[in-house]
Amino acid sequence: MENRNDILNELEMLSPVIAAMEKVNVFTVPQGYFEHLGADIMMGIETENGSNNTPSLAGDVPAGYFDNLAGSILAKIKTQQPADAATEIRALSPMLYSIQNEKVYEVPTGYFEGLSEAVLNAVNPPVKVVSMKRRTAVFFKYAVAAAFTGMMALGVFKFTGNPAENVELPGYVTDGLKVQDVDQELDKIEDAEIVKFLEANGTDVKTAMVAGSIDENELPSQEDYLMDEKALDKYLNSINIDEQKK
Amino acid sequence: MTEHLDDKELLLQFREPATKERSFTLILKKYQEKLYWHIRRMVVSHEDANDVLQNMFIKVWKALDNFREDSQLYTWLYRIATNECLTFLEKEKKRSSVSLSDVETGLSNKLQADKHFDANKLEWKLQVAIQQLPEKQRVVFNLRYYEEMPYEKMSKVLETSEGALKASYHHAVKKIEDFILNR
Repeated sequence: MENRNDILNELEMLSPVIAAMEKVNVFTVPQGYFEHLGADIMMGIETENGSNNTPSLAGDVPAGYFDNLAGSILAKIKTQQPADAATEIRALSPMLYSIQNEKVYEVPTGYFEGLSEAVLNAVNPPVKVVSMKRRTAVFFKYAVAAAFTGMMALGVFKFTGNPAENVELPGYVTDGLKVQDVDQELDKIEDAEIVKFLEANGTDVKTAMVAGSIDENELPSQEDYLMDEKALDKYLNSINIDEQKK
Repeated sequence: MTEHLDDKELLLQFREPATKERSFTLILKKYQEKLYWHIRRMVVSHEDANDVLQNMFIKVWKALDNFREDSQLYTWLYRIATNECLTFLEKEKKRSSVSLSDVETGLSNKLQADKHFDANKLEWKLQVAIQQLPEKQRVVFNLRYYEEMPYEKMSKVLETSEGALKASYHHAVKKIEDFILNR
């Protein structure tokens, strides 16, 4: 093990300048600092442990200190157990503990009863079902038109494909063969004739009537569906299908 | 009588509930000044040194029951003190969001703020030079120069090889000499 001289010799070899310097302590400490340091540290330890008993330094033992020491150490061990919040606040401030459960704020009557529902509604708003009937109605209109066009095309095929056969076609078909503007000509056909045709071809007349009689300008708007779930029912009732069927 | 108990005896007494606090105060009294000056040279201001020392001894109180005695109490205490200093300086660095070199400049500034500071006096110039060193080199220089600690003990305190400590001390001495002679 190196001794003091070894350390000094090493320094002289490394730096004679530093080795020649006198070791002066330039720092100062407050007067009496080291006399009270031990007590201060023990107080810090006591504070950490949550006890108010300040131990005395060695050489200054109060009378009966050692008689009670084991008990006080056991008590200290207990205080080292994590205290619950109530015990802690009672020890720190009895005044705050006494007013701990005082309520100073008010809530509206029934607030908590309706709270869960309000939160659930906010998290999962009721889903608005937007009816697709309007598109369906347009679809049916064109379905009827397509059916007529198909029938007419079939008639043309039969008529031109087999000129030898003399097939008797319904009047509306022969008229349809001369048609240039399908929409215009469809408007000229009587509803009764359309009903007759649809019934003969197994189509739901009521649905087709609805589809055929709808004026798009009178249909409920998108906002109407959002405002009132029964907007479509009300509209269907307002156009009175049965009367139109007659 | 009890004032002259060696560390082994003090540790035995610390493990006895009846003598725990008393033996701790004896350990405290035995080492407080040495450790204070070790810490003070690292952190410069008395207030910081006092905080670090008190925190360090509170940790010692909590950990002493588990001290395994495979190292000496003396080296163990120095190790805790040194680690506390380095942790403190690291926190200072983070708190002020400055680089390590700025912390060292800050330490020099603290030194120069001392009411007894005299830039013309060699002992103060030496202190300013020491504060220019990187932290670890500063620890090594202080332990060797002021505490006259053998490399063997120092290697236990700092958990570094003796060769690395020797190199570190040599670098530190050369830097300090250069600072004193050329600035």
